[in-house]
Amino acid sequence: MWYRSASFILDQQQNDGVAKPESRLLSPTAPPLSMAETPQQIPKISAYYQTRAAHHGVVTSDWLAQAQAAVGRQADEAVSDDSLSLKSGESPKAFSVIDEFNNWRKQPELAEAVAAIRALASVIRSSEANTMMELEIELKKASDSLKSWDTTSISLTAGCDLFMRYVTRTSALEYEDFNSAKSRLLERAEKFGEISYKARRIIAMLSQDFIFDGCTILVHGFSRVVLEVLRTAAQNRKLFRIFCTEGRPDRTGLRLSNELAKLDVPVKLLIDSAVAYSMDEVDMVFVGADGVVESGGIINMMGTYQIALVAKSMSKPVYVAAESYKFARLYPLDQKDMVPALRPIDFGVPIPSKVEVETSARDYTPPQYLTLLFTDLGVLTPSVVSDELIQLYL
Amino acid sequence: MDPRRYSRVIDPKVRQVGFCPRSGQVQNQSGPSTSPPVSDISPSSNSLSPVMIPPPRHPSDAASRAVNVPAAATTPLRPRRPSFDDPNNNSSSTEQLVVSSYNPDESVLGTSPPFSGIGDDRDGDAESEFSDNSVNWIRQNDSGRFPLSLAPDGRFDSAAAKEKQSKKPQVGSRKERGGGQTAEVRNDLPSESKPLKEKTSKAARRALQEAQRAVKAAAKAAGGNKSKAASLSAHEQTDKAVKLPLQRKDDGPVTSSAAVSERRGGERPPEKDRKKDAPAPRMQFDDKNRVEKAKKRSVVKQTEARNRVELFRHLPQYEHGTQLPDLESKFFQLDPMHPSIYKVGLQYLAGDIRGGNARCVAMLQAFSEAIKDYYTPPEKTLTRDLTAKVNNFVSFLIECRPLSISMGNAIRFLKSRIAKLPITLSEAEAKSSLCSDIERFINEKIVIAEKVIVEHAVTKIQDGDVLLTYGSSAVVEMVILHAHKLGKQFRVVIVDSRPRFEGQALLRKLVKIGVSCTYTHINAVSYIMREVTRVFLGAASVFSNGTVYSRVGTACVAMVAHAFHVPVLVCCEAYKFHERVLLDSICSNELGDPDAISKVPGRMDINSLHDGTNKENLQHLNLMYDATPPDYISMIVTEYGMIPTTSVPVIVREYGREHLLI
Repeated sequence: MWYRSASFILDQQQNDGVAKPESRLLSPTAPPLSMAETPQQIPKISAYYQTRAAHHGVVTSDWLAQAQAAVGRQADEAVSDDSLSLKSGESPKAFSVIDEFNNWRKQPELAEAVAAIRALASVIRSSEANTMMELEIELKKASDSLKSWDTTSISLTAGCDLFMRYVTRTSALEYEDFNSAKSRLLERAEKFGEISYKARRIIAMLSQDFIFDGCTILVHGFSRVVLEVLRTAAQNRKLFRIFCTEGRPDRTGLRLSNELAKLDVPVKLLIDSAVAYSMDEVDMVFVGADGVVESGGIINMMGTYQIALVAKSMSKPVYVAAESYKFARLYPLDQKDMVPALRPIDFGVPIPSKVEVETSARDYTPPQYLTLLFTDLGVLTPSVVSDELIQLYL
Repeated sequence: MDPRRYSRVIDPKVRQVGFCPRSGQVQNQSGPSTSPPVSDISPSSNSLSPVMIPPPRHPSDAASRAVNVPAAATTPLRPRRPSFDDPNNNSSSTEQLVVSSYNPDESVLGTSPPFSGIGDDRDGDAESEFSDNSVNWIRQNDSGRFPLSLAPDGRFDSAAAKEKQSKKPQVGSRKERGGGQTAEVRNDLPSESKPLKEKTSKAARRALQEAQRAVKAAAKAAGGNKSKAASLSAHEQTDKAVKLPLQRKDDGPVTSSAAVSERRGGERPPEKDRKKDAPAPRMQFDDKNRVEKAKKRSVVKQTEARNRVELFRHLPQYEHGTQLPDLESKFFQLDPMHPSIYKVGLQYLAGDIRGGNARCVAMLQAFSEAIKDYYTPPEKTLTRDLTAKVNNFVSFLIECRPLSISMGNAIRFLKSRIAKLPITLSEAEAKSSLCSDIERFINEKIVIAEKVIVEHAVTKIQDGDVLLTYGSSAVVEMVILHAHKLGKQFRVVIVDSRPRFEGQALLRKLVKIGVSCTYTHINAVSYIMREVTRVFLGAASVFSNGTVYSRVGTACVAMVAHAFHVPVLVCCEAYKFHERVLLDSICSNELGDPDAISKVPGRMDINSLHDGTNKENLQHLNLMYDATPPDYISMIVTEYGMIPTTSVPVIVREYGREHLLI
């Protein structure tokens, strides 16, 4: 857009003589890598998607190799991270948040954020701190290291932040003696973990009113919440049918259609580009979310935005199912205004090195294309998200 | 996440009560159903749209009838009512009872003795007209509730209905009878009062009495004044008086749904309450009497401009530059005004202090000075006297230049601090506490807030961005400077406009520190917008509906940016938020010097319009502000973070009180 305009080109020519700060920008190289990744640029894979792939077991050969390489690196990094904290930490602790987190994470039904919350709760449990402040600092450090473990995962960051808010919020803690305060904290942590764990059930219950007999639902991506919603609907003997996008490149749609077929729900698979073609048969669009942002929009798997656009233009409702621990204080202005989560794409044929590949794994859907959000706080319009966030964080 | 919000999970279910599958049918039926009884008397009522509030009809003769109304005799005449029924009503009367007990809205209508009582006292046509009026009234509200409900699309109704079936068997059975039936039920609503009337409760009878009393009072009022206008107002009064008991009626045992409470909110409160509740109206400068009165009180003698634009006559407009020397000469004579206030006022008048923040800070500092020099007169309390003093100061400042919203908020803060001063404090302590409060307000709400905003806004500037800003906003300037200090590579487009060219000062500063700039006028904004990636704007105020009130021209820039899909960021401190709703830039605005737009500074020869300024058919309009609709704004950056425009009321709600308390 702007770099095509005349005045910019003029500026460009002037600048070329002096320095080239902008020319670097003009050639769209890979966006800056996130913290979790090493300088070597080849694998370029977001840890978030590794986890998902590990859970879902849909792995291509090429992808597997890269993922394994990445996991190896990740482990190294975690160790170095740990040793670093050992050096800086005041007491040598045998306990590591990351290990705990990874333990929890192995359960496929457990969301990443909930795993993080559980891990943080165990930080409190195993803490040897003697004062409230110390404990808080320790918790902060743990959550920071969790967050930096994978900066691309929105729900992880948001879950950690929310946990910190929820656990340390009241000043009433200050007036009690340390041990009871600590047990109170632990209690809360457990409760928070419990709430987060149950969130999916609540959402499934809430969304039942919106699924009516004979409806056709378009689903994009593999979201455990959406699956739960559909499963509950099937159990309630609702008659509906699902259109499932293929969800390239990790074929999330295939997996979802597998699950749904097990439930005896009629499923039709579409390739990702057939969304507009089949939209007029669709009654509603159901998607999950990686993160729900301040504006009320969502960040989700690549392709959500275009589905929402198509749905809006054909005036079909777009429903988002997302747990409240995915609410993040982010506010992307456009698609590029996010930390990119990258993901390798297997085209099946070798790609010439000159050809660039868009490897971003998710996009941002602005709130005006969403109809309602089903969360464990209730069924919300997009504008309420900010309300909730303000109340949670401020 | 805490228990409070956890319990809210049930909310959506509660909202479901609002799903009412009859919406369409009722709408369709409303026209023909009301027409038969009415058509012979008031044909105008047929054309009433269901959205309109029905105007009082037949003002003169209806009122004169109301005058003749005897207070008693309500019940004996009742049996007349069935004569208005269609034959098919009687069959459905039993279900109507069920319906009315279920839906409080309908019961309001069905059991409205006050209405029918008054109607019956007059002759038949008046009654039908009146009750028809009520039908319209309620129906309008009824249809108004549907947008309230959460219906995602039409289909959802079936699901909702199912839900209801399981919950409430009566409703379900009724529902099965289908659309035609329900519509019919609606038609006969007035007749419903008949079966219900027999068992009028104590509350109902009381309401009835009160209605009669109100009618009497109205009659008395109308009797005193025979002019047509007066009788009209009397009619309005009876109208209101009648509505009042009606309201009270449905406060009864029937659980009122959200729709009912909504309706009640929308209804006009009685005159007395309205006066009490409503904020003091702003001075309307097209009201000659009040302007004269205000002039007598004022310190600053402003001469008003003669030739004003019709649409903006309610705003003050003065001949600029006439009063300054006069005021300066009075500097030492003005007893009640503190010199620092006087100084600030003059600076406002002369335009030396501009910009929302600067004006607000200057005002607060002047107040602080004045409070320091203040001594409570004997036999007066500090709280009362100081409040009066501050009011004086404020009215002086308003005479110099209308207050901005931010100043209004600051004054409100100061007044609440004064009012909340504990009586135990000595005068010196009270004064010092007030001064430190003012100091803190300036610090927390303006200085630190600006810094936090800058921190937030800078994260949205990336290398390679092209920023566009309009005019000169202090916060935006800070954002750009900070981003430059962080070493971000970006260009700035400064859009400016006549007659003030405020952008030039900003341009000078930015060029000096080496930011690459483009300077253009607002005429070229649609051209330059295609290369812009972010638009940063300042704001004088942000209203509850998300409307941004800012330097005139901002709306235009935001609109063009919206059309080009460029995100628009508005930087605004939260103390400038206001709970009012602003829809256009006409109601509240400020008029600048009308000559400024026809003159070119430094070029007296280019003044083709000069001799035309006093002509009757030429009016200059120099607006100072405009309202940017929320649709054009991507985000508002405040010290509480980056929020969408829809969250302005949240900030006002959550921090409005704290704002006063700090």
